Amino acid sequence: MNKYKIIGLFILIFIFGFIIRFYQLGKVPAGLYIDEAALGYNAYSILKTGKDEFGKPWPIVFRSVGDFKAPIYTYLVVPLIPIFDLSPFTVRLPSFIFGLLTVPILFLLISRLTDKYRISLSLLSALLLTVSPWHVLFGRTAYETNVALFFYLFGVYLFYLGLRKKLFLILSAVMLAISLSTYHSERILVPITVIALFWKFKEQLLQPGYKIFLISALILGIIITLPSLSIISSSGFLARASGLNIFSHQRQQPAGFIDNLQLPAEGLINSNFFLSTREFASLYLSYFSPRYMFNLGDYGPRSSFPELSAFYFWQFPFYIIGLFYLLKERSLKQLRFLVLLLLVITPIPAAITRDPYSTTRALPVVIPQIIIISFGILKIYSLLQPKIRPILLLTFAFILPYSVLHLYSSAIVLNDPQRAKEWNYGLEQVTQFTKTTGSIPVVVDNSRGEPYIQLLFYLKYDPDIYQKENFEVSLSEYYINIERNKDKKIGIITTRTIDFEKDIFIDQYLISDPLAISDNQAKEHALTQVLEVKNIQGEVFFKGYRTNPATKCKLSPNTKQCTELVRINEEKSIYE
Amino acid sequence: MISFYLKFVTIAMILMLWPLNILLKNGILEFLYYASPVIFIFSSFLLYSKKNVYWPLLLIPIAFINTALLFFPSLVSLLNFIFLSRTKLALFILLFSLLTTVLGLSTFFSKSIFVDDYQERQSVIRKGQLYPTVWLARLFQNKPSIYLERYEFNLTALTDPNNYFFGFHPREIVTNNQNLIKFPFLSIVFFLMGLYYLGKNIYFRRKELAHWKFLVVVIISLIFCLSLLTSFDKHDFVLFIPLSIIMFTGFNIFIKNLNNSKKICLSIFLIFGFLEYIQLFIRSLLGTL
Repeated sequence: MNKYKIIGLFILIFIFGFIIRFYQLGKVPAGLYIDEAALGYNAYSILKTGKDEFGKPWPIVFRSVGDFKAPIYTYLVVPLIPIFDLSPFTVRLPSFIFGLLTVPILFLLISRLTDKYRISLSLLSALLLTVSPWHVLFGRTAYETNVALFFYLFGVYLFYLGLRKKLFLILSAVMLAISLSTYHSERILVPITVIALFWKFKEQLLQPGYKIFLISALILGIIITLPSLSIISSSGFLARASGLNIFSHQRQQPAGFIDNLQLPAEGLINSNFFLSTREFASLYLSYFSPRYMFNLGDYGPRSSFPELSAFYFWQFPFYIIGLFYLLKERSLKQLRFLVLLLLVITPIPAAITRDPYSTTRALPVVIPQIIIISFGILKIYSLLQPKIRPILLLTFAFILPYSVLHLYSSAIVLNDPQRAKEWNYGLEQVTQFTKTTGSIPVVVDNSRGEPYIQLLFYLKYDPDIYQKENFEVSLSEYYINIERNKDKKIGIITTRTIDFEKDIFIDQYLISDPLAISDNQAKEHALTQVLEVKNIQGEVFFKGYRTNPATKCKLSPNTKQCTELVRINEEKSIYE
Repeated sequence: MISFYLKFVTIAMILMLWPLNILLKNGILEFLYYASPVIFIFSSFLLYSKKNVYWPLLLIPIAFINTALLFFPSLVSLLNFIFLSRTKLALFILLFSLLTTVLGLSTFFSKSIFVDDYQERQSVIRKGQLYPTVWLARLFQNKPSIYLERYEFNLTALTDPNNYFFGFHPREIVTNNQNLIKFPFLSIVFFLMGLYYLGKNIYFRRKELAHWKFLVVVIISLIFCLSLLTSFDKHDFVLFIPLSIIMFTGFNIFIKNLNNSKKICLSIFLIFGFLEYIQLFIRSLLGTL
């Protein structure tokens, strides 16, 4: 195949990937998840004030709804806001861009590392990554993991370039250091990768000509990662990390722990080392499990599409065959080493956290597995008799469009009706309503969520005013203290739990999900319904009511609040 | 080299967990019910090892003992006839086993993935209404897709190593399943070694592992048949023999070139295996198995 044909084919794949990821970007998934809104509003706040929502100037990691977010994604959104405005589209745009750019990096990486199957494997892997449900999902939603994957893979690619042109080693260090600051998983993955690659190529890298570049790369890498690394040891960050980590048993006993065991050897039977090792092994293995890969996918409703797993079911046999031949054949040269290395190390960061098969934390696993599936397909093709090969090609001519349609069915058609609640759909409509309430106060219930950040996002509320009106921790304790203040004030809007003892005797709007205020409660407290937000299937997500203190007091005049209300009204009339 | 006793203890530790787990969880009668097909498969394997061509005949009673495995003898006989032995005898065995399958079809249906589920059908209809075009709705929301989904679930679960070494996942409860651990989790090393060795034998068509053809035919047939069931739980005990052979092969490869580091690994395996057995007995006593 000549050079122009290859480039032409790759451009077609790239355009295909662009269409798949760009179609209704920002609209589907409908709604904006709390983390996405936090990324967007903090970027907006940085743009307007140079501080985040808590008033911290240029944070190294962003404090956000009980978590600490890596900073790169937020800072990437900042320059996009003046161009595209603050919207779900803008927040998801970096993920889209870097997700799409991962495709050419994968193509170039495979082309660089192997001679046999060079073109076919790089093109096929790029194509399968383009339509991969796992990769597409994170390319359409605002997740730091997707951006981190791009920098990680680009860093690895530049490392291999650096083996020939030494200057690239410095660029590789820069990319890997950025990826380390982009997402938590890369903080474990990057050091292991660097050590493994150094070990593999130590003879070449320790030659005199390389030393100066290697030292420069190391220094530059450390300088870039130093701010992030300095935060890792802070108590706030450690508290969060220990909550997720299976080796920490502060919040939860290890899996398999037998309660109330009063035996002399209890310590041995419930040994943390034994139980945690077993759990780690199980979690690690889940990333190679056909059940998760080709059937269940991620349990998390936001990290999977309905009725679609991380990979297509038809890829299952090719995965097994590809894996077998990858282990057996040495024709793939350096690519074989890299794929096996990535396959072994990429699940590690995710496997030390409690959830099995977390596609968010283990996104880099998609790269070696896509290469293995592609290799399996090519291997089968090469083993077939030439007469039969057209049948395989014809089968693919049907399977590929079917897979894309399957993706469309899950991501576009079914996702919103089935998962809208998980994407916090409805808060945009709630925000629009609050704009029409004039000066009457609005209480938004936060007993089952934290809607304040979406309200801030959709209102584009002035960050300067918000920072002054709200307090969570002092700036000196920003990275240390993980105490939360869930009640927020956004102008006339307050987000807090509705208090039926008091709130119904004040003239205001109450907004909540149907659980916080039932129809019976609305009737009992003389509330007038003014808002109803439903999803496509007619399921009610939010309801808004106007309180009627006067009517309520007519219904139950002897309550303490009503007596107080009458007194206030009388005082008012005397004063007037 | 390690002593015969140590080897014996290790192998016993690897292989005893699954039967013991089923026995403690379900009682002796149920255990015997699920273990009897295993005996026939083992007998068949012994015949195959002695190059006796009648080995598929011994699998036919399985269809009568456990109707959930109705298709198994026919499928093995079919694969035997196509790939291993194109003889009149093999054809006769195939026809005979097909006859037994046909006779038991009516009882099999109620245990299979083809059982009708009204709720599921309604859900498919509801989801179908979400599509912009009818043909797209029909492509993804149809009756066969219900069966296919169930089949895919079973197939991937049966080929999931977590199912055998961790009872799926320590924190996960799979419905319609006892979530029993089948083998000590560190024995996955032996299993993977055995599996790779089996793969190599298939690829090079070597005769070192003489029984690889038996293993392939039986495993494929069993996984296909078990995937057809509404719930394969406990029925999957029939995989005990083929999986144990793979495990045994892997273990032999492991100890063939035993060095100091492998000895340490073996010691860790024995300690962890011992703890798994202790946990099993305690859970059984506490009634939380």
